[in-house]
Amino acid sequence: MLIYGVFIKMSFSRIDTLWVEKYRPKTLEEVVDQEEVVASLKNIMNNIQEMPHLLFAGPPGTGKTTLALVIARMLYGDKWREYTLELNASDERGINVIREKVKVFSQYFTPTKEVPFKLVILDEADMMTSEAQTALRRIMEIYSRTTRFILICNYLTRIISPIQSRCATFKFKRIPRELAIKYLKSICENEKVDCADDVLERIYEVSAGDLRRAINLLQSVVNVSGGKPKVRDVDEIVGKVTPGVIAGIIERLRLGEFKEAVDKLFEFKAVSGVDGQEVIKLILNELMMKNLLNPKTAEILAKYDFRMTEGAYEEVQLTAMLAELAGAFKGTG
Amino acid sequence: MVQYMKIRYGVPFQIPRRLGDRFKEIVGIKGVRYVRQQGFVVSDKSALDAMNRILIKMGLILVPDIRCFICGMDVECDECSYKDVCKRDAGSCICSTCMSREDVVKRYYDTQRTMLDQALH
Amino acid sequence: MKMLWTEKYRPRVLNEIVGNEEAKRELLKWIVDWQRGIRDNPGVLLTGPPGIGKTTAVYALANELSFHVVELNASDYRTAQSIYAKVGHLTQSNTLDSFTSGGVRRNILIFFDEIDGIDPKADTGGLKAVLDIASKKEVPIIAAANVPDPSSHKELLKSFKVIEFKPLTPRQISILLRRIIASEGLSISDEIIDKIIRSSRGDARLAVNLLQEAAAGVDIEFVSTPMENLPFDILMKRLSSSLSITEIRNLLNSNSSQIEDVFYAYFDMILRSGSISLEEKIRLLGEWSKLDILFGRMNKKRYFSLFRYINMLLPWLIYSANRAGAIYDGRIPQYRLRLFILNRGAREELNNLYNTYLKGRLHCSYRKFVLEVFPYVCGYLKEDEYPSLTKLCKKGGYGVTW
Ligand SMILES: Nc1ncnc2c1ncn2[C@@H]1O[C@H](COP(=O)(O)OP(=O)(O)O)[C@@H](O)[C@H]1O
Ligand SMILES: [Mg+2]
Ligand SMILES: [Zn+2]
Ligand SMILES: [Zn+2]
Repeated sequence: MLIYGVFIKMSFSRIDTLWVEKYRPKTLEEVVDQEEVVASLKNIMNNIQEMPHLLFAGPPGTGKTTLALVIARMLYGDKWREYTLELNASDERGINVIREKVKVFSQYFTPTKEVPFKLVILDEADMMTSEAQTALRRIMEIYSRTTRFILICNYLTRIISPIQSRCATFKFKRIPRELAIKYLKSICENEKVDCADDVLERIYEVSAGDLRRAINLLQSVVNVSGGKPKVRDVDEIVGKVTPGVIAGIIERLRLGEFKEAVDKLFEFKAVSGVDGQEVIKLILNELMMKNLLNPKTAEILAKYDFRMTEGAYEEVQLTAMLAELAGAFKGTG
Repeated sequence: MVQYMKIRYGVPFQIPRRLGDRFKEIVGIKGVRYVRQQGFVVSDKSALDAMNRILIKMGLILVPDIRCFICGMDVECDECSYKDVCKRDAGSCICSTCMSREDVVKRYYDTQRTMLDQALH
Repeated sequence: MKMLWTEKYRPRVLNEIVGNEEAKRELLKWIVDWQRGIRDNPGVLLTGPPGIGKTTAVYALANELSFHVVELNASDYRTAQSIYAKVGHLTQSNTLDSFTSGGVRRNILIFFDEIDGIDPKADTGGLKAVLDIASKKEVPIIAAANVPDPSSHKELLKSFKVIEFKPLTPRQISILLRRIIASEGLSISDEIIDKIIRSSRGDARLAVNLLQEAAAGVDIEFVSTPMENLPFDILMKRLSSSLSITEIRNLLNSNSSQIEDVFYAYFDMILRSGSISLEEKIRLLGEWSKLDILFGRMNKKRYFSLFRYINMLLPWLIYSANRAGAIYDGRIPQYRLRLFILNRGAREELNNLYNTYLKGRLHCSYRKFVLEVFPYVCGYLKEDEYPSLTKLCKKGGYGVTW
């Protein structure tokens, strides 16, 4: 393992280094769980010519992007990259950029019997504003003769209904415990690592049905322990990655260690470069997980989420927010 | 021929000229008031400067009358080494003769004591 | 902390105050008349720039004539109730215009300092109450303002007797300094004294502060233009040792180009202060958050008129932060610096990592990469290729290393 690690350290050029990519399913059969989705997709793929636009919705790390790529492979085989445009709503600066890219990609394409349309995979579509989504709907219509869209989102409710009604919607569920652990075990086997059941259990618990996180954790824990992972290693790693860092910050607030919490947050923010609103989102999720979201804490988050858009310094707003949260926790004991 | 006239800040005085239209201009200056039957009241140096810019055309210059608080003599601000930083709008100052005495601090407080005591009774 | 000379030599009687002799005489005469029942004006309004003895004169007067001063501050102005709560009972019956303190029956004097710090539009309730109390002419009222005519307080100007205080003349400052120099037994060169006199611009408090600084060996040259742009850390030191809003306001006014930095530095001070309680921090940071919105709107939408409100609010906030115990320790605000450096170094490396190796192969957005991939892969990074990132991860904040 160590040798492997050193090798990778020398060159980051092989994406297979990352187990999440190495073990990303390439066929429908390999996909873990999501039986209903897989079954209805099989049906749709029987009559490719009539494939509608697809909308995948569900929690992170449940196979949405994976399935979209599987479909691309099913449609175009090895040449899938040629006919597929992968976009990320949160990466593109505005709907105009997206329109431009789709235009260039679809414009001079003539459908054939083998390749009846090109495929646009638009991930994180729910990060778009409703105006942008309205524009997106029009783009989908303009290029419908030559192009099919697969839209991917976490929250279906954040997709405007005109888009929903034009797509076949698939809801993805969190991966259940047994299946996830079974999958992790198969990875361990393949990598010839000896990973005890309690470690895998722990990994599942902290990743809460998110397979990407689970696989990432597994790989890290293997790296850190040098081949013989312990439950303790898992916990240690969790404290250093999202959302474990956020959990740590909240824990500090609950202990009344306000200054330390702020320090941790800024450290996290500085390295990751995430913006203030993203931080609030992460905190919101964490409070939800810990059952700490109540009218009081929710109001605090909402208040500062709003102020963040208006203010000059994110740090000032975030700090004031943490102070208020610390106060709220103190009140409840 | 330019005529110099001493005035005191905050104390009304008459202007020995026919002002006509200039009157409005003068009372329009910030820090200058006109009190009926008593005359103009100037509050500070900058107001006085503004007023002088008008009056000089009529051959009149107003100079603030700042007296020595201790001896009552003219302070002669033009001779003062601090004239570049002094706003010359105080009611009084201390003349250079008094300033040069060893016991100026004591004499200052003594003078003031007498003045305040008078107000008390 | 050693005693400030402005406190040590604060005059206890009117005669110890240098300058504004006529104004003091008028004030004294007014209160003497009042006691004799001659009450032409319901109160006196002292005007004039800060640091020339207005507040001192009121307390000296009270001390000499055995008045008990009931001082009201700006927060009392907010509502009529809070004014009445503090002084209403004193004026309810005309037999109650005195007060027993230390076994001595003392007459009462109501004092409103720094009324220019109050927004009369927002605080009319309190102002009305003041005028109401004044109109009864049962208790003498003295107000003080740091502007020559607090035009926003027209009603007050109308009925109160206005006594104007002027900055001290350089020679008057000299008298003041000589007294302290003699009493402290200092040997200080005439050249330095001259500098102090020139720098103080008639502000007696500033002159005394400068003298104390000079006596402690501070190079006065450095602070010789106190009302102009100060170096940032001198400005911060002055601000955080200021005990009056006016002083804070003046410092900010003459250093307005640094206002945003001051705002931020104070934020940092509050945050890292070991002596401010959590409750106070919540309150203060909440205020800072609100002010931050003003800065944001001003900067983003170019609403420069908002600067007026910032100018109005920041001195009060700094004042209350000072009162809560915020101390400037000479450090540059840390987070800004840290974010700045890390933003540049680490973020560039992060971008680089994504764009050179991972983009298009990772099937996820940059945002997701940052949150969900990077922390797991930083252990793979070569130190010489990603120095900032690896250093940060090793430090243990964020990201797994092995
Ligand atoms: N249903 C699944 N079956 C197998 N692997 C999965 C599944 N869901 C997620 N994974 C693993 O997690 C990684 C991320 O999954 P992805 O499809 O990108 O999740 P998302 O639902 O967020 O798009 C994949 O590369 C794969 O390794
Ligand atoms: Mg995805
Ligand atoms: Zn002079
Ligand atoms: Zn003299």
